[in-house]
Amino acid sequence: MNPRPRWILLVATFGLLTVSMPAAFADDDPPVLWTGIVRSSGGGAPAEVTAYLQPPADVALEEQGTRLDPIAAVTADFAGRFTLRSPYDDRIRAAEDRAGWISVLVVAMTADGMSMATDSVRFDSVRHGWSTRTAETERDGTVSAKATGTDAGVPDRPAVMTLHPSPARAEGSFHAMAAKHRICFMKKDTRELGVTQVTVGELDLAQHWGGQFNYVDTNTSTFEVGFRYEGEGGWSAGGSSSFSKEGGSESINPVAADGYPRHLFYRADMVFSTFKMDCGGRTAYSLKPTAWTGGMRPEMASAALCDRRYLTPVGPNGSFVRQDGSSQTFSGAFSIAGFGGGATSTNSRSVRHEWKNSDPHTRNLCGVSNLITRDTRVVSLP
Amino acid sequence: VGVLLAVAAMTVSCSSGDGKADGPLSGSQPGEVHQPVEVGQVVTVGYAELVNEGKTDARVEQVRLLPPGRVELVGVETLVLPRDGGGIISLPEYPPRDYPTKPLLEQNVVAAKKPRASGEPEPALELILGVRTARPGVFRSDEVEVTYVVGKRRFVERYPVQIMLCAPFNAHPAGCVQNGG
Repeated sequence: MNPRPRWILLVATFGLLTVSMPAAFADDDPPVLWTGIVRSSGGGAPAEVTAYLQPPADVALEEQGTRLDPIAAVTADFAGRFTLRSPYDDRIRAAEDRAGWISVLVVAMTADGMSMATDSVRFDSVRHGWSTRTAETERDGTVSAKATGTDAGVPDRPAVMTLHPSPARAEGSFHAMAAKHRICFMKKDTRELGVTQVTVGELDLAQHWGGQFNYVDTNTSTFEVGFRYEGEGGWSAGGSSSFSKEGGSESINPVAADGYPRHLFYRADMVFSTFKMDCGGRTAYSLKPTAWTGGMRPEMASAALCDRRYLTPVGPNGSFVRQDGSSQTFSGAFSIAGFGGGATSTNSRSVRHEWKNSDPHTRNLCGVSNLITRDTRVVSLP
Repeated sequence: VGVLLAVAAMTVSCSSGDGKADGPLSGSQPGEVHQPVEVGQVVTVGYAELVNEGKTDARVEQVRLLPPGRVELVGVETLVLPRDGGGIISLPEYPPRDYPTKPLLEQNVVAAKKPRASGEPEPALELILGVRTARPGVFRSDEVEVTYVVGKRRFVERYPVQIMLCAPFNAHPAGCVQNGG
């Protein structure tokens, strides 16, 4: 048999591989920061979409408003779909907090409406992409962004940005011009909102279960952010915020196992701020936690219900520390200024839940909505 | 030439520490298990729930506890999740009664990622480890090393998993902690 056809096939195959490799890996575009859809009452809207870098919460903003720095911009297609890309550059490095979080404000504008959303992201230098998770809670190796309905937990960002109609439609042409120039100012509202408690942890302890909750940094927690548009009454959720703030003691007093059941929420004292944004000549407000005082208080609460599909046994006198990647979401974690928001605490080196079965028999922990290795609240059973 | 091609075809990738090398398996890292035991008693610890992010099934070949010589691994079974009844943290016997576990040799495939309906959980393979200590004292392993094959590639990945055994049982009335308390 003549060997030539095999060599031709081998060379041809190698040639194909050589040609196809650059197409697969040589992507010079900046990494994707945000993808989404803009909708108006009539369906998809070809809005001007801009991502701005929000200053860290502790940076003083100018009295009349600080002009926000756009880091990515695009025009959505006629179905409203858009993809924002941004490089990881010095401007972004300068805005990172200790955990590498930056806060991004995305504004979609048309001549008739506006929508805002926010999310905290960090640059994953290993995977060269934007991520909504800290390195220590990254579980699946993917650069991901949770949107509404695609995963458990507080949604990091809305999957669809719905345009809020302008209260001044007569000025449509001005807004169209302003939107084109993507001008956006932010001013920290000086209204004193005070300190509000946010649920970040929970220990459900049946009789003869002990436990301990530790919370030393906010950097693996996600808090829902409210938006309110001028001319409209109430707040609505529009994404999430994460920030790094140490403050708690290393250890909160452990709860001893005894004959009494206890259900405790752990509530962190958070400082909330409002921000006023003037974008394209329109005004909107955001509301979010910007600092943790370090305070933490346990409060008695009502227990959640076990879903027996998620029973998980713990041996006699055995302990389980829920840590590293699993999480719990509290849908009504806080309420302030008429906005009720959720919070997700991801277990990590900074957030630690421990249960101890102080009984000579095997007993169960139980997920409320999922396996206890995933996003769920956890209860212990007698 | 045949040998060279075979070597090139069966490549081995390794990772350490976070279990996030270039292989498609990710291991959930649910935390720590601390369990008082009798000397020589084999108990069950369920750990390293593996999920396949790739498009091809993965087959687990071998499991080790690291560092070696601390907690002794005497058997590995597996449990396919999700299932009614959830997973296992610890049980005082091995293999576990009343759980549909199978030996690793019989059940070792981590199913490839497939499109799922909203809210449908992704399939996972939980490692059910039979562990013991042959001496009194406090013994801790820090990582589970998993060797698996995808197609013609072999991967060795480590997941941070802390298992602490304290023996004998009655010497640790306050539970199993590092200082032997």
